[in-house]
Amino acid sequence: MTQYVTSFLEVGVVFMFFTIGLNIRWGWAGDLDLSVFSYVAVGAYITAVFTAGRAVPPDEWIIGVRWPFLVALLAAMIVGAVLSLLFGMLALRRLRGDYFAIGSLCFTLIVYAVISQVLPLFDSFQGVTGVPQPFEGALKLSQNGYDIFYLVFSIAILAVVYVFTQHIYRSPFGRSLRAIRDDPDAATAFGRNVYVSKLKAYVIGGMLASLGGGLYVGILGTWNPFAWSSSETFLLLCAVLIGGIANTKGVLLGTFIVMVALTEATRYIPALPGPNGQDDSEAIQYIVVALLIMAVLRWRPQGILPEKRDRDGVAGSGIPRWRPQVLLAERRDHDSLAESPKP
Amino acid sequence: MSSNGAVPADSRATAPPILEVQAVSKSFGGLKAVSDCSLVVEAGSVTGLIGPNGAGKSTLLGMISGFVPTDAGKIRFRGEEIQNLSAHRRSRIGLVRSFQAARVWAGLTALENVLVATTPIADESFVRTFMAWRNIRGGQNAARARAREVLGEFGLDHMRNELAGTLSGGQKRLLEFARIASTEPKLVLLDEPQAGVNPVLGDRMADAVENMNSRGITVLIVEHNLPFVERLCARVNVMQLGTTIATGTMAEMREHPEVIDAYLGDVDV
Repeated sequence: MTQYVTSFLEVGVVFMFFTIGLNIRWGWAGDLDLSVFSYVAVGAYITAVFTAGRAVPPDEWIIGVRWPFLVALLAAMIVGAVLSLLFGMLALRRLRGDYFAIGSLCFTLIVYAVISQVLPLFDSFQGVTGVPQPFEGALKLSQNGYDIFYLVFSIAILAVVYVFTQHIYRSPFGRSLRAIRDDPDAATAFGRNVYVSKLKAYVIGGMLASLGGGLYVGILGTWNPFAWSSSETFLLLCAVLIGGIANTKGVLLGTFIVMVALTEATRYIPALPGPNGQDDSEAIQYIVVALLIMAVLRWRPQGILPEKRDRDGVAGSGIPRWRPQVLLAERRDHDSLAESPKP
Repeated sequence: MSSNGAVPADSRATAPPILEVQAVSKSFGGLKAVSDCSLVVEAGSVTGLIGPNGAGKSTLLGMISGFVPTDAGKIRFRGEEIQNLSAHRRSRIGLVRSFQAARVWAGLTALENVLVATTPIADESFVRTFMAWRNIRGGQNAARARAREVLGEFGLDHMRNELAGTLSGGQKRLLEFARIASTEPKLVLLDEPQAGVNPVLGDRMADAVENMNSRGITVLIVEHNLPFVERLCARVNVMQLGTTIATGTMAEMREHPEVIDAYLGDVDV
């Protein structure tokens, strides 16, 4: 049981890096990014080729060294950031809204095609194998002890990332980013460089997704194109929406809920025989998550924890905490200006 | 400076214009939206820009503010050519605009909306966000105090913690004005500030423009509400078919045969 909980939490914590990265791009900068899992994959591949050592023929992959795991993670973050910068420079200058989302989907398809078809890169569909457990040589722990160590290690990095992102959120840059999200033209009219601000957010998001990818391959020990499909992107989008887009705490909660729904949904459902007699109950997982997301969109479109409002002073406006956000349900026009004092 | 925006004759003779638009043109495909159009805005004035729908007024405002690239011609702001400057850079040198429909940042509170405007852009530097946080925090306290003060001036103090998207149409318009006023710009471009606004608020808008102008801010207004224009603007430019056809006081424009023919008609305004 302990091992089950530990491995469940390990994967859950790693997914939180992905959703935090997505939230910065989508929730803060307003760019619906469908390519986030490409950055996860790139981070995983780079960490793998920096730690797995030379490929044994007929396998082949680039780099192939056995460097320390932390150095490999750093390399993954740098490559994730550079890739984000390149695609961001191409897409964010002109593409907005739906067009950007489609552009990011095209980017994913290109990355997937290149990685899965160019054999010398990451060994095509075989993928990179033999990634050692991080720090395994330095630690003399049982498998259970190691799992707990890796969980604590991941949580420690997540805590640093959380503080880092909250600092950005509260900063003038974070506020300006959210203004750009709400209305880029109005932000431009007040001197904000929309393209550069969005690019910064995109790079930070990609860097964090790649960091998560690096941590993920530390658990899996291998990475190939099968580890990475459209359903993973769907889960990340669901986690952000369910938890509360633009609210980091909400996004963490949303990730946890989606993970629980995904792994526990089939526990109490009898096996579903497929047409060839196989167990199709895995499909139920996605049905449960899809129903969950539909319920949230219908009854709580702002997510479980809505975006946090910067309340000035204690007097405040006395608005209940759970009031729906305007972006999704605009209040009726009620001009109360006749009562308010003149400027 | 007089409260109705008129510039004293002596200062008009000596001070160079704050904005000079020289023979600018803009086409969208085969449609010439602005054609060989020229315009001068005196420093410290409130100037009007009127004309029938489709005359090219908003396009011209977009060209001046940098949102619409110019095909030809020159735009000088405080003596410097700015036609090749991006929109955000024009804003940074003191040229701020409003839009036809009030554009607020809906997911931010009213106070945050003004706070974005009162925050120095240098404080949004990513390096400073981490390396000079104490300085930024000090600057933010000042920016917040200024934002509160401006909201108070516009009668929106009690709404400061409301999300801007929940405000009424009129309140959004006032918030947009508050945001502009808080930046202390050199020139403000207002695109139909009276559109969809009730008479009480309309008067308040006029007061706000006079208030801005009394603090030395030059204002160029595109507007169809002619009494509003007459109240505020010492000089008015009339546009038709993408170019200015007349310039003068509103009283002069009423007598101008071309303006009557193109825009005013026989209606008593």
